[in-house]
Amino acid sequence: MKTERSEIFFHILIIALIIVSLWPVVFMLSASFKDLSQVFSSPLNPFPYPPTLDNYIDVLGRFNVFRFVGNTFFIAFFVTLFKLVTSILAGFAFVYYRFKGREWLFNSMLLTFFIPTTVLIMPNYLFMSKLGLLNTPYGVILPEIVDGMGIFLMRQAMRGIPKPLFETAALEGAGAMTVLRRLCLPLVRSPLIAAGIMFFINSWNEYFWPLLVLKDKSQYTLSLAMQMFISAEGGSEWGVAMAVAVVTSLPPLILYLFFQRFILDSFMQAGIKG
Amino acid sequence: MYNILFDNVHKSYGKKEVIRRLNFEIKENERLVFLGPSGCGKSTTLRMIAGFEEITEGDLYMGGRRVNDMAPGERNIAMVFQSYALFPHMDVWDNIVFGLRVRKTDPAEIERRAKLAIEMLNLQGYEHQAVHALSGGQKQRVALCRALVKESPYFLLDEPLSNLDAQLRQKARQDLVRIHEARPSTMVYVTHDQVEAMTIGQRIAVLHEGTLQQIATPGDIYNNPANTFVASFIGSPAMNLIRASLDGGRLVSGGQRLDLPDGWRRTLAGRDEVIFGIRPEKVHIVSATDGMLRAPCHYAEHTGNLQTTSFGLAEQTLFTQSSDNQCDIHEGDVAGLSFHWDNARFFDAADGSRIVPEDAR
Repeated sequence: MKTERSEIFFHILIIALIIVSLWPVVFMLSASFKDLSQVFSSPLNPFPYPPTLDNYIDVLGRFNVFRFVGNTFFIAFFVTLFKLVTSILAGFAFVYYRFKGREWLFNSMLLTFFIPTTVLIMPNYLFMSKLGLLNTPYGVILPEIVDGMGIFLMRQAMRGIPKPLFETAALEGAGAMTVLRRLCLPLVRSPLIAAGIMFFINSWNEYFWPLLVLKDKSQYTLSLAMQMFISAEGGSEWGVAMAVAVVTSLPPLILYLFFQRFILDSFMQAGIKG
Repeated sequence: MYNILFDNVHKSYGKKEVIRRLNFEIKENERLVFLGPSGCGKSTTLRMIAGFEEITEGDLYMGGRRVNDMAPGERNIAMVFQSYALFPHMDVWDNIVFGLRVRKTDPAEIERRAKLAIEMLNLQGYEHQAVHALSGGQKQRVALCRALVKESPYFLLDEPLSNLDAQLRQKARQDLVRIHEARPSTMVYVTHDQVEAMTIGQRIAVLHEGTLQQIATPGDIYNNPANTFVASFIGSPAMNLIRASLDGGRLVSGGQRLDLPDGWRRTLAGRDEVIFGIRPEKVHIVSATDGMLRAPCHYAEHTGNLQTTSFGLAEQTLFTQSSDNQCDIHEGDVAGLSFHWDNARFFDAADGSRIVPEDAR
């Protein structure tokens, strides 16, 4: 009896947590199908009555959504690509080469996790400004081509490869690049894909840094474009903003569903290997 | 000449010495086994040959060339690891030809060598299997195959059979010897298993705490161990080592006295104490009145083909072993023990080294 009661309590707690975390998603979806008056008259009613596609028509017509999708994709793609390349190379170097100060260097790299973004924004902004990259996607991309977390993930994944495999390759006279290409990369495929998705989604959703760099509306990413509808300057077209939000959320979601098994695989392995 | 020569090779990690002054030669095309308990430095020594471990002092020569600073890939070595080290993302064929492909060998030649090796190890039909789907014995054969296709003059094996079950191990031992006879190379084999060492090695190098104890043929290692460590490491049960004092021409231990034959009397003259060694199977159980020694039986064990019996000699224990299981002896019985003096060995009581009889010197 007692267990049953506590189970009920936990279920209520869990359901409440689920509602709280799903609510913004539900709000986004329902508001995107409501007209403006409905958004304000019944913000808590998740069912639009009558549902309308006007917001989406607006997004696709009046507002050049494909341009924003293109901008966002361009930035997210190159940020992901560069982060992966640098993480693989650095992670591999930390595993493959023995050099003096290797652990020291690795640990100091880990320390960069603790530097808050706000501290980095000023110097990065000034740097990009001196390079004349403000208001271009390159200005957004350049400071983001290396990622400590990515290096950490790749190094951990490659450390899990049994040493005799490296030694066998060494006996065959395989050089560093052959070992990386033929041995390491195929064996860390899952964590690599997981890291790639993480980089892509983070960059896709990024708001603050692109906001500083990109001034011109034609350069905006989706997150910035959405703000045009709900900010002081753009007014409060919640319905349209939420339709943009839905469009923004879709690509990462699709990407995640597509690569889901690699991510789960990787986290599962991490769990076993500790 | 594809020999391997250790010239005063020394290795330490910081202040900790792991290999002490190795001086010996592995001859071209011989099968040499490094044998010793875990932590004795046998794997480290093998890894120095492969080039995975740096040599702190001394020189290592392979085929007359000093290789201390030569990368593993330049040493022309084939190696089999304890874990087999197969590439998990490749199938059997790709594993076998990996090295040849890296070295950009002619595809026709790759094909020829791989087919030959696969046939030699009875792996036909498994070429395109994923390695994780193979059994332990098959993985081990794939690892051997990968080493064979290299056709290297040096072949290193680091406990390659220790992950197999007992029956497979015997088969694999025979296979290894057969392959080596068919395709000779300078083979260095590391194991802690004395049966493997005795059956595979043409010579055995016994290592203990980073020091070479003895390097000799299996027969010599067994019959004439260089010191008490080798004597106690080889054989199951090991050689009996009984501490005894010398009283004139007599050996005294646990209140029993044995008259030494003339040869030993001369050799051991001047010593007060000595360690007497004899293999268990060289001691025979006889009636209490006939024996050279009399001792109570502590414990008798029959394992079908063998009978192992232990006797008490004061505080020390003496084992006998016999394949003649007619002998009916039980705990507490007092029996006589006899042996032939030719089978007796003596060791220095202080440093454990074997005392060579005068007439053999």
